[in-house]
Amino acid sequence: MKELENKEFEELIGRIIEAEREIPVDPLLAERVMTTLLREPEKRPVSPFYVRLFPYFVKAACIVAALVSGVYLGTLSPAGGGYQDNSGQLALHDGYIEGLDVLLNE
Amino acid sequence: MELVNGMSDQELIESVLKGNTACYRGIVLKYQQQVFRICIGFTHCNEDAEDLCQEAFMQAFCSLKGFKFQSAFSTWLYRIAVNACLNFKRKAASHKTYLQGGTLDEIDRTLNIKHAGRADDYIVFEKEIAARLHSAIAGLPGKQRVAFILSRYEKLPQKEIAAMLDTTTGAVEQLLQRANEHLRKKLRGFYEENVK
Repeated sequence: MKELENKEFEELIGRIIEAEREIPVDPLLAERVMTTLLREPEKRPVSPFYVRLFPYFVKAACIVAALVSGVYLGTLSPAGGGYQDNSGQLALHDGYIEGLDVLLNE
Repeated sequence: MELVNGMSDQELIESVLKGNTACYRGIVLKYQQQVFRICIGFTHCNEDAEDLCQEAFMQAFCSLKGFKFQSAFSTWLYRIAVNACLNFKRKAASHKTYLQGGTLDEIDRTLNIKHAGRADDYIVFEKEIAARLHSAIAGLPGKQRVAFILSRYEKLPQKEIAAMLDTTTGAVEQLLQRANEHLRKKLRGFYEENVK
């Protein structure tokens, strides 16, 4: 019976581990990683500029919408059918004036 | 430091973070063999090692923003690979799907080339020792196993292993000594029975 000395042990496991170390990695590994990364953009550490700017686009759109609707609503008369002129006085639209004319003529 | 396309690790990483994803290919090509060797050390199976290698690179990519250049990029990447391997082993142990001996055919092929002309018995003996070694490595306590694999499979210096394990080089030396002793004990019986 031969005892497993330190030197023999080192040689033995050295040979086995060296054989495993020599196994080459699949040359297509980098391609696989890159394909997966490009297929799954949510995994990117940084988004493209248009994704990063998306919240700002939304905020800008909301502000514009609020301004436009505010201006539009502000021009409508609370009396219904009328509008405010630049002086802020209630003006009558054409349809109402036409109806008034009809009544007066009668 | 080895440069890829004339770019250092830091330049490649900064380029990736600016949105130039294609630069990540350079990082993968530079470190794939090293990461693969670590994964082989844990799994001893080509297919599993390749899957883990891919997973490690994906995780590294997703966490790249968190890398602050306080350590070498390789140290950070190897730590991710080690964690992926440990998680894999934990899951495999709970699902009992782990098949041992995946690289034995590769070892067999390599040993056949190296020991051409030697008795077949000897090659069979070394193959059996390899299977027992794999089993013994898997049986090492956590930190001993990590230190042993990084030292033997990736040949990392003790200083770098210490940085990865957040410990001192003296502690790593002790871990390696204990791991070697443990493995020697495990292999001694079979060796002494078969080698006269």
